[in-house]
Amino acid sequence: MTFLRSWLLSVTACAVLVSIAQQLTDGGAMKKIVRFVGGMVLMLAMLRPLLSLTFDLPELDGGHYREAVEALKETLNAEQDSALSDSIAAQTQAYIEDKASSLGLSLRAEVQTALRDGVPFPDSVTLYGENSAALGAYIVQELGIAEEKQLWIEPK
Amino acid sequence: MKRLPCFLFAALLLCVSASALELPSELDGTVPRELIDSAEAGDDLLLRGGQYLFSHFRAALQDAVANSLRGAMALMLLSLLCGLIEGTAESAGETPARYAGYLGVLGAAALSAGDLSALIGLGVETMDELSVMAKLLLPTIAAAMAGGGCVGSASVWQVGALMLSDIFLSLMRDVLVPVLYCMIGTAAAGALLEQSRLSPLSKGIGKLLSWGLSAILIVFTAFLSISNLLAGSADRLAVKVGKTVISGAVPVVGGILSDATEAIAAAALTLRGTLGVLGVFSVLALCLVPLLRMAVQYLFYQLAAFFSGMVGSQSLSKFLEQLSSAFSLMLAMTAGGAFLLLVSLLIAMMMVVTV
Repeated sequence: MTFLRSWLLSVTACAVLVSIAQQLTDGGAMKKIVRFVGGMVLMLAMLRPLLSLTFDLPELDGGHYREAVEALKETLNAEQDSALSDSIAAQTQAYIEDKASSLGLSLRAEVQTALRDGVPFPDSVTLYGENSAALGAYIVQELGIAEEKQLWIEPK
Repeated sequence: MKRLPCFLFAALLLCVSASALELPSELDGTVPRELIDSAEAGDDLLLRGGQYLFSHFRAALQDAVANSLRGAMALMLLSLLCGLIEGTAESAGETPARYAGYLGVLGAAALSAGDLSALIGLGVETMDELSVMAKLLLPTIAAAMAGGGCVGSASVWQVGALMLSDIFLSLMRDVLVPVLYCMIGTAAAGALLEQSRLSPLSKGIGKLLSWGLSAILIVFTAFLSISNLLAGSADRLAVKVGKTVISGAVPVVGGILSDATEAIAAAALTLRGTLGVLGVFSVLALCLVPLLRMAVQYLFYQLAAFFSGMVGSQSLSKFLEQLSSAFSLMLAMTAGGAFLLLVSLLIAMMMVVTV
């Protein structure tokens, strides 16, 4: 890019000098000689850099771009998984508490999720209240949370 | 070209939601407060945004005309004076008449130097501010896009758009603006030394700048569009896999998973649309004053060039035309930077993962 800038500047400067030289000379043979020499100088200024131009362009390195995309993908995936996890846990908790209420129980549920094939599934549950076999069986059947993954914390 | 504004407007209409929602706090300072409040209140965002722009447009136009009028009047007076001197100097001989033209061009260069450096500086500063806005706004929109299932596309879009914005700013600083100064210098030298034929060189440099800018914008827009199209296929596959997994779950769990996924996706879609519209209006609000000033300056210099052609010297008239071309190129560069960001935002708003 600096090549373009310096080439344009050199051509401009050369043209200005040639014009000034032409202006300063009187008519006649001298003016024709100045015009010819000035033309040669201007041609050299325009063409010499182009003849020695090497197209050493920097390599297009996509590695940095790919790394940045992959890193951002991981971050966004993690954020999405976290948001979806929280939403699923909240809905599952509400579902369990509703069911408990219909069975005449009063308890609070905390659901933990785990990823299966990239999708958060309800994996385990902590239940704060009186142990109920009926509710436990319901959780196993309807929500797929095994008995060993249900932790009951009864009130003292 | 005429279809592009209609297409952009249609995209905006399709993407706006009227429901109230909570916006991320990162938008403060980037998006005008009035528009954030309207979005959170569920007002018609297009209407409020349009009103906001129009109210600032009137004030900005008044300010731009006031700033440019003084300079234009000074140039017109200079043209009148040069015309008068040339007319009276002709009787004194060839040399005084020639030097009257030189004085006109030098005087115009001195008068316009302040305007030129101010507006070129304003253009570069606007690009800097757009770059800062992009760094704050795009990650927020990318997060909303990812919520709708476009994780891969969001990543490619954010990294691509920010990278292109930085590259454009570097190109503008390191190549386009220096070449523009070269064009202005060549125009001044060409006006002073008519036999040097530097004026055609100056026009050639201007054409080179114009082609270069168009090429850069076409390449960047094509890169953004194509890279996002390709990334979309991976997102579609991921969504398909997710749906298969959900359908294999027990009915109650499957129902919860499906509801949660759809709720998040719907909220993300609404948020993305709103953020996109807010982003568009923020870009337009940021660029309004600088672009208006450059456009008004360009028009006034064209007017001064016309006036000079009628009553003053031809060399001064041509020089003023070249200067107005320089303003139009600076306007094009700044508008190009804004266009890049607007296209990025519209690509984000139109991205949908269908399975």
